[in-house]
Amino acid sequence: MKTICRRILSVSLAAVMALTALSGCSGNNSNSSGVASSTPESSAQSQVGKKDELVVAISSDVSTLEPMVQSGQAIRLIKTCLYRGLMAYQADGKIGTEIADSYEIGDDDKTYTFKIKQNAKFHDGSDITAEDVKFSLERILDESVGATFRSDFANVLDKVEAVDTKTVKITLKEPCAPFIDYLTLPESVIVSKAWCESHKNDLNANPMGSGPYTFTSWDKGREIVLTAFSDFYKPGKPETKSIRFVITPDATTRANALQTGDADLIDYVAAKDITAMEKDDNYKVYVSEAPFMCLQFNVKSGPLANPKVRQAIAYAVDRQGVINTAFMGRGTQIFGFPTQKGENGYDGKYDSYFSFDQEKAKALLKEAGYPDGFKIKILSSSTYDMHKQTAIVVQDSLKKIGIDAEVELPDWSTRIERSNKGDYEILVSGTAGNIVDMDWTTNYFESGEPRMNSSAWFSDAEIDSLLKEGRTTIDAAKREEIYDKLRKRVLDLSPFVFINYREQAFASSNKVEGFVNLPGVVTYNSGLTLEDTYVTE
Amino acid sequence: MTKFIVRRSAIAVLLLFVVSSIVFLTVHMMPGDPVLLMLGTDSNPDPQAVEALRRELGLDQPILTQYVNWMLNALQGNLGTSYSEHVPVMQSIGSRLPRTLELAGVSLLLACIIGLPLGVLSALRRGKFSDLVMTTGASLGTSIPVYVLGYLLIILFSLNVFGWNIPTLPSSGYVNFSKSPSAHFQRLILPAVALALGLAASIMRMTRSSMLDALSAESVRALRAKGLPEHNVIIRHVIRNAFIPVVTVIGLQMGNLIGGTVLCETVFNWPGLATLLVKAINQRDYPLIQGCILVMSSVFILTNMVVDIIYGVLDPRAR
Repeated sequence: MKTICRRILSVSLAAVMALTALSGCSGNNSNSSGVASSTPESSAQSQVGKKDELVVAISSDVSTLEPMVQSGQAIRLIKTCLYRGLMAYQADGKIGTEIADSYEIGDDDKTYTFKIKQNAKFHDGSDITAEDVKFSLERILDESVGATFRSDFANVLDKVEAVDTKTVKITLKEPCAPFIDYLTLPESVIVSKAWCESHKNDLNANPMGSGPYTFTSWDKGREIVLTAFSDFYKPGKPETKSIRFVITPDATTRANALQTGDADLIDYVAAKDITAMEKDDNYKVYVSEAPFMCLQFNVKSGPLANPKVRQAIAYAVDRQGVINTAFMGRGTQIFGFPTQKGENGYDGKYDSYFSFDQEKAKALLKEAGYPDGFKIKILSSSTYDMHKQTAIVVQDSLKKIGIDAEVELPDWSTRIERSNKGDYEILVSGTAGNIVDMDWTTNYFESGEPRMNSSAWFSDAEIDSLLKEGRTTIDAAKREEIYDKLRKRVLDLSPFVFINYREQAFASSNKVEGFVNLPGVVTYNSGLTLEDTYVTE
Repeated sequence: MTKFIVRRSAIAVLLLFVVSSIVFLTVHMMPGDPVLLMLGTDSNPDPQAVEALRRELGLDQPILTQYVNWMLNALQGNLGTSYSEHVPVMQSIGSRLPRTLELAGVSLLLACIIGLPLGVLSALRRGKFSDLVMTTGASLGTSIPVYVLGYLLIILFSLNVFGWNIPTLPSSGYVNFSKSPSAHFQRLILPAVALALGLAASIMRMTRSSMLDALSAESVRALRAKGLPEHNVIIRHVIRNAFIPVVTVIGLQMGNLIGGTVLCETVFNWPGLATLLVKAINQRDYPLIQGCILVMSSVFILTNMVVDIIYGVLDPRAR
């Protein structure tokens, strides 16, 4: 027994000593991650004063690197480094060419002829040709790929022809004003035909594109490492030799990683951390207001089928209450339509269409035949605090006008299944259009089967025809008029009740240069500016 | 003895079968659709793509067919392919399990190093001020949730808010041992300590009460009366008897730790098995959920069995 005791004691002492010794290794140097970064010295971009590695802590695990599936905003940061499309948003927030050198639109407004950059290459060294563009756009239509925007492209795309090796002609079924907007999506990028054919069309297992960074390694659930592509078509870019994306789902852990220097840049900064970091000179905070919180309704039957009831709810919801409770006071109330001024000529004329007026809400309920209110269920989700808290504030607001609402809080995956089937009465939603052009509203207000971003069973002939007219009209002034009518009609019928804009924020250390959080919904394409991003020594 | 071991093993196998069947059924009965999540939730997936994927995954088959197929494959050691990671489940688990075992093992070791001596000391000083301090500390230790303790440690030792003149530790993450052993261990220290303190407190309390029991035994009075030196009485007789139940508790904790590290893994972004399971549940990744739970319960059942057998060896009455 004695010897055993002694042995245990000596082993434990050794363990303690080893641990202390190892902790001592880190020294006082809180910035070095302690990782021997072994980036290849191939790229010529190395300059004095820039770090070789940029570490980005991202909020979501990467389920797939298949470019044509939109699997989350955090993953788009990686996808925009690996892949590029014909067109993309630029750091100034305007659309510019990427793989395309130039393009022309035919007189019939239906043919688009793109010239491809002479120096545009894929990571395997091959030139990007018209055949690759044709293959890529047709790949979006391929059911087996599961492309997120398959039906959007299938509805407008007639045919794609390779005129010569560097010229491609796209013909649409009918004119489509937002077509170029759709080409800027990180899900409509150009991939290599030869590569896909020799790799079973599996770009998740074999990511290869033409973006500023090439794929290096992927440790599932932990990190993805990319290395600068020396033949990128923008000379001198990217600015950093390698990027390491570290998967860090917990918001506080992400903020800690930035504060201890384990990460240079983080995404989805929580509202509480935005406020704290804005006050601290050691950090840069990049804020863009884009997504909005709203209520969707199942309008098939019952009180919610009556537009007056939905309008009553629009007057009843305490928007500032939602902002205070769910977003730490950060955000902007929406009493009109969620369009930023300037988009498709919007001048803000509907910004005070509704107001916070519970007396008016009660009067509307009375007019609709529900003077004593009714019972209803609100579907939200416990997975995201902001969804849960929004539901609770809305529940409270509705109670004040006599509507007795019960909040249901399943996990996110159940919530998605139910919302896509229209299995709800009132749904709390946080969303953003996919493109800047007002055509984003088609997905939200067009009649049809219930889907995630529509109010279940909502259908209005006038809205349908306005949406179609807006899409197929090319003249900008005419489109302004069309969308003006659309906004009015949507607010009158209130298939949605819009609550507030929320912030989409990134934060970095003050040594990070070049990163831009693109304005409005383009914030979700901000990964495009990682080619300009570097960390100073 | 052989009969005892065989019986315990048979029970373990039966338990595993029952657990995996229940898991399969509950996982498939859960609301939520993996296909919708796989095709991206930021936009509406294309209905045709949904159908195609459902067929490809075999989710259009009757549940009984799916169950039988899964069981037959599982018996051959094939747990299927993860929906979200696109690799065999065994491979996903294979890369995660060692990390969780490492974290759990180091924590348990630390907990024993702290908990056992303090428990003994506290029992020997029963009623004195130092005992009061130690038992209060232990109550605090068992009641602080690991996520509070974890963030507290980060605030103190990573962010170093008080500006102490100490080497700061990384707040989160994981580096492969082969890549950089020192970076690997630096990242292990805080999560291991956060997990260990709570465990140490419960081990200490267990040791203390078990020691008190052993100290009050009549044999101890007899030994003292015989004139045996006090340290001999304590080390040879009291501790030896007192540690039997403690060993059991420690063994069981190991099983608990495999699934119980989830909060710690989240706070410190430690890519272990528990966070994999949480992700799998959120994604409704059926094969991965089933695989993770199967492995976790195997470890749990196995440690229980080993503890039972050890107990049987130590105390023949328990056989």
